[in-house]
Amino acid sequence: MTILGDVFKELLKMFVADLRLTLAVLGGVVLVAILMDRGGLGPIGGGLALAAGCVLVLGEAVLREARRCK
Amino acid sequence: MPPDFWTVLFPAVTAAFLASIVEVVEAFTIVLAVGTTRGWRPAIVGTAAALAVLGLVVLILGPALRFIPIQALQLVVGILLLLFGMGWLRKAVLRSAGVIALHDETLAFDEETAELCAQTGSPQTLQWIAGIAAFKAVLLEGLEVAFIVVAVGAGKGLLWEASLGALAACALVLIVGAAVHKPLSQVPENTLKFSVGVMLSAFGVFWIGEGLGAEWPGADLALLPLAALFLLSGIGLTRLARTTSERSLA
Repeated sequence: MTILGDVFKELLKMFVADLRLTLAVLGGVVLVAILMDRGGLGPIGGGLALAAGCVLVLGEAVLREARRCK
Repeated sequence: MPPDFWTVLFPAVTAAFLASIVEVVEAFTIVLAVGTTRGWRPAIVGTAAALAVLGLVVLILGPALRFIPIQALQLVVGILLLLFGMGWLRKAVLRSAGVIALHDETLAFDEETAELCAQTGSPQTLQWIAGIAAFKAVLLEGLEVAFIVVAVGAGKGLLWEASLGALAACALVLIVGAAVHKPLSQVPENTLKFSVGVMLSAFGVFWIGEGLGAEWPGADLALLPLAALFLLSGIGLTRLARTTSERSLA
């Protein structure tokens, strides 16, 4: 049972190493999906917005941790 | 040479190979501690059992994913790859910037050895505990490799190629490890983690886009500028995080 528990913990850690980063990425994907669906973003704009959003989310996660670990 | 060799096949196999090196080196440290403390029998049996479980996971999960519609599969796998890749990239950037400590294989080896030496019981019990330690280490480290192989392989039907990349990494680490017979602390683990984070993040964004119906200029070739974007962002963020951390300390 301990091994199974550790396996689930490891799986969770793989995708939720930083909860805010995970939620921000998921939120960004949902936002781009909605905007593309409603015509707010074209097929090329959707991809570019997704890439730019991910870089911003990554930057926020890194700098937040850098400030926190002083 | 397939037309998408440099844009899809090469990055997919390379990502599986490099990620596997990172994880296999970590698993090797534990297996080595088990082998040198309690003998090689429990170390080998535990490792072989874990590899069999991981192989089964890949063999069942890989082909099963073919039954999911490609667009839904690309979206789900893309999101998982992006989360995983950005998690690795974030950690590698923070380690490069000195915000968090680098992973130390020698320290991990010493800790595992101390833990095994602290166990008490009959010789059979100690062998059993040692075997379980090796099994758990290989299984847990291998889970990430199995995920990458399945995820990278599923999106473009490269399961065997990605598996070969992972197996080549296992063989390489085992050969080098058997030769030097000590923790492989010289492996540039963080650089590898950084590279894999960049590649998987690029794959993730690309496949999420495909899943959502986005059009990438240049089709598969768009993977290259996406990887460049994450690479440059990672390098820039490393410098920024170092400055931010130093300013916080001052």
